[in-house]
Amino acid sequence: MTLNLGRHAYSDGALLIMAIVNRTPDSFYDRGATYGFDQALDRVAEVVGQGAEIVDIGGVKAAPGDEVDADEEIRRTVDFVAAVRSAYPDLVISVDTWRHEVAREVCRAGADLLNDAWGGHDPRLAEVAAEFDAALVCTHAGGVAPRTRPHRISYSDVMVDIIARTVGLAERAAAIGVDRSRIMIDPGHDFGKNTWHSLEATRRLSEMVETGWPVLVSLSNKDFIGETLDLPLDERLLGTLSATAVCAWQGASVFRAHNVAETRQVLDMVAAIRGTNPPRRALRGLA
Amino acid sequence: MSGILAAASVPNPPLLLPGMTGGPVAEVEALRSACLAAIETLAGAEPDLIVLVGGTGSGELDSPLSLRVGRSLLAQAGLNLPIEAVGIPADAAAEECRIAGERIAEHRGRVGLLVMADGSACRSLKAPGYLDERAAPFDAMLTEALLARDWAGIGRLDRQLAAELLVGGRAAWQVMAGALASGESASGELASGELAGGELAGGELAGGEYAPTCHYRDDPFGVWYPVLTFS
Repeated sequence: MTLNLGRHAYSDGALLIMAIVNRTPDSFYDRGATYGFDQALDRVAEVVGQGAEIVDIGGVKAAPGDEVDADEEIRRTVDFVAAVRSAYPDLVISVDTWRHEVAREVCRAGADLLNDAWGGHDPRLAEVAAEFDAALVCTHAGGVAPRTRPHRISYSDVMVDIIARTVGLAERAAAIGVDRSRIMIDPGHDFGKNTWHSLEATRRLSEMVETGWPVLVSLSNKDFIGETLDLPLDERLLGTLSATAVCAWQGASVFRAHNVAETRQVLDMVAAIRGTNPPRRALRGLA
Repeated sequence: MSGILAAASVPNPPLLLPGMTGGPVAEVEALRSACLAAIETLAGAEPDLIVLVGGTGSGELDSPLSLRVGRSLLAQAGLNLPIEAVGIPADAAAEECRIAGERIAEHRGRVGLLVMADGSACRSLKAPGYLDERAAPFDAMLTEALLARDWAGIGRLDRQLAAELLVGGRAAWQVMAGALASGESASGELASGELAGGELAGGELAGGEYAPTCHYRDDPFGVWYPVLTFS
């Protein structure tokens, strides 16, 4: 299925990178490095240079912490979206938010995509996507409230629950007017899940792909990788890239990532193994 | 005029086949340009027929690599002429090659000769055949002999040493030497006849000695790639 994002149409087999750009003082990986407006703009320039097709701008960290209300979230994101829009007319701009009030303002400022990482907590978010002809990520978060941690959560079959909820959200979004070619589903690694759940979601990702909705995965440096390898935050890149390759091989389309250059290499390698992209420089045995 | 009007000698690595390197590789594109320039020189002689000569391996009965690369380069150059392909076993003896060459020179039509041949594959530590100190002098001698139109010298190339150095083009070059030596002596005889009799035998002269041009000589991947024309 073609995936339309902003003014771009991506065909089946495209492997896209959504680079994380946090306008937060407290996000888990970058710890405020791009909270400042200029630092965040520099980060956009860097990830675009590294081959990211999409930037995902966030104004609220996912984990529990200091309260950030809608006004503060708007303050952090809207002007920044406008600045990125003006500097990069072709770049796909995503905003990571669960609030429809924020969504409306960022869409007005030029956002192309709403990354609803909290699983449709605010049903009006999809209405904003429809109103602005924006794209929408429908994520599985297990029904938990935004910015909460999973606690003793269980599923009789985690992939069945992921597919039921994400496809349900996608169909609802399409029914209220979101363009079907602009909807993606995301298994929501770590969101409403323990590490066993996230590993199983990764292992069975092809089942999501088989629904026909383009699949986005957000794996980057997450706790399920840290727990799997028993490694701290700054040592999870190899685990992240391994999971990236496994998801790409199974048919995921979009990869939300902190480490763009490394992710690009992995995706280029997977594409070449799959036979959809040629090697850059094949000489061995051919001279 | 008839006979061999011009000849080109170009290497035949698989990486000259379209798309074979994946993305474009600068060294390969430089080589390709030289090969296409050589074919343009060949086309400039306005032949009606391309005789394509290439070495064949024992397991290559269907579609020898050398001839596939040759056909591909002719297509890449946009040269749409009939092609007569002549495969010569890469390990053929010199005499067999010479005879095959003389047969080509007997063509009555206007022939452009395209010879697929490359030198040793042992010119560096990363070369396909690893570094062999004998490779560079052998390739230098070979290339100078070609440029000097020393067809007899080409005919006497050391077959055993050429095989040890993985020289892919020895047999094909010996075919070319046989063909061009024959063409030059025929035109020489005719030229003398003309002086003696004062009349040019119409349509029999191939044009005397072939002037050599070197379009490229390098070993970007440890294999010796000379690109030469004789016109």
